[in-house]
Amino acid sequence: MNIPLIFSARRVCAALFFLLCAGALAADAPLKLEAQLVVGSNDPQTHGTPVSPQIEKKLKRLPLKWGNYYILRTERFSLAKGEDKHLVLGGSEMVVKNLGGERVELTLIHRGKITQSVGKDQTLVTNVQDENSFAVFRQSD
Amino acid sequence: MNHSSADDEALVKAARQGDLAAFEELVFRHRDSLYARALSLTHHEQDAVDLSQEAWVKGWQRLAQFQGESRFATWMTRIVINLCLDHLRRQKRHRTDSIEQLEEEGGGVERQMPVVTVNPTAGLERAELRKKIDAALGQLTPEHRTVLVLHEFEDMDYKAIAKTVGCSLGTVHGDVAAVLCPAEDGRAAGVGQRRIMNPEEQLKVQALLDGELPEREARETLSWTQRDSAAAGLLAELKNTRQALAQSGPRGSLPESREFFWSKIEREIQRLEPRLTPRPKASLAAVLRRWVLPAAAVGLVIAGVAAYFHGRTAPVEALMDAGAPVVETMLADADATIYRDVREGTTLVWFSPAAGSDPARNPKPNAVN
Repeated sequence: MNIPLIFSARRVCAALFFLLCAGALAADAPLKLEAQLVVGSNDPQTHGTPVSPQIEKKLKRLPLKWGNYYILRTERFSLAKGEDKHLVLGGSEMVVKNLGGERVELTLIHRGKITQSVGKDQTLVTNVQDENSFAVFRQSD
Repeated sequence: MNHSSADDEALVKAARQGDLAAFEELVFRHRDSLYARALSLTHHEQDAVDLSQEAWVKGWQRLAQFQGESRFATWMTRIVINLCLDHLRRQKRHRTDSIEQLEEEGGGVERQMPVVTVNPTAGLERAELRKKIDAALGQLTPEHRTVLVLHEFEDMDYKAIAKTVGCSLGTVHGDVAAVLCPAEDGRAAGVGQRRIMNPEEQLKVQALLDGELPEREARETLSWTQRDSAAAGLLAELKNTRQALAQSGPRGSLPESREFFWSKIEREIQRLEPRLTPRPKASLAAVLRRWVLPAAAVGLVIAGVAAYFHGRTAPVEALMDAGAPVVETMLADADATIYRDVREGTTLVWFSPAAGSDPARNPKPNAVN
């Protein structure tokens, strides 16, 4: 093998190795999450503040029957890998756990559990105990 | 080893041990002089380039034979001169064969395409003068031409010529005399009708011109040349020849760049190298070190990166396309409906009401039902 080729192959290996390390470090970084309790309504605003246009757009594309959505409560928290957070939103108890790599495990006590990626542009929506209400999870800025 | 500052001897020693860079430095140092010598003998630029390159390749092949008895440049000069002589002999034979063949086949060369021969005057400025010189040189045998060129052109004395060409001093003297005063066999132009001088007289005139005679003998010889018309004619002719050669001398440097000139030599050396010095077979460890380990490392890293990114991003689109479930585990009593909006990256998980809760308070979404 040509010596320069060996060197270049080694450089590529080194670059990929460092990339992998950087990715691994990024994967182990704490995940900053935002959980919002949102209520749906077809009436003009009666309570809470309207959701952001981005969230509204997302929610309106879902097969839900309401035209307006309002934020009742917002929780922001940071989870290290393997760490979990106990929440009560809209009468539902839930546990959010950071599995690493922007993956979370959402467990609604007595109801079920889901594992889902919550990337920068991904949103997880689930219903809660309170009427017409939802928990919206996404990465906080 | 710093090649540029090393002397020839050290470079030759390194080149003998296979250091091609050392040999390249030697080529760089002496390529112009070798080329000039080849050009002076062939009078053809491309032939001179080719022959000097061939000489360098042969020099590399025969480095083991170089014992350091002479300077490396002298040794290389001998190689290039030998190659030039072979080349000129081949050329002459080819020309003769071609003419004979044409005469046999076509009833006269004038009806055929002209035989391709070297044009020694191509590219020269003083065309007329050089035409005459080349015409004269062209009539000489390659050996005579070599002797003349080396003596007149390269300023080599007879001893050096004898050493370079590999013939005896007597032969060289005879050749020089034949070249410089060829009236008796009428081969060269410009020699008029005069008495035939013997070789000793010719050499004396030549020695006078070269300044090799002692002062007293030089005065006598000069006096003799003034009295003797043949000697005066020869002396004048020698002066003219020397002057003409000096004016038309094929001095100069290679028309090719160092890199280009060397690349052709290097390719040829590398082509011949396996035959000259067969490389030892690569050991298993060397093969592993050179090929398998880098390949395995690259493969592992790529696999790791691919696996990492696959698990890290797990794009909904990819999962949807592949039909892979995003919901990895659900509780046994769970009952959920999942809807995914691929474009917006939204996942809706609609859990069924918990046991004991009022279903009326938890309406399912319209489209999911």
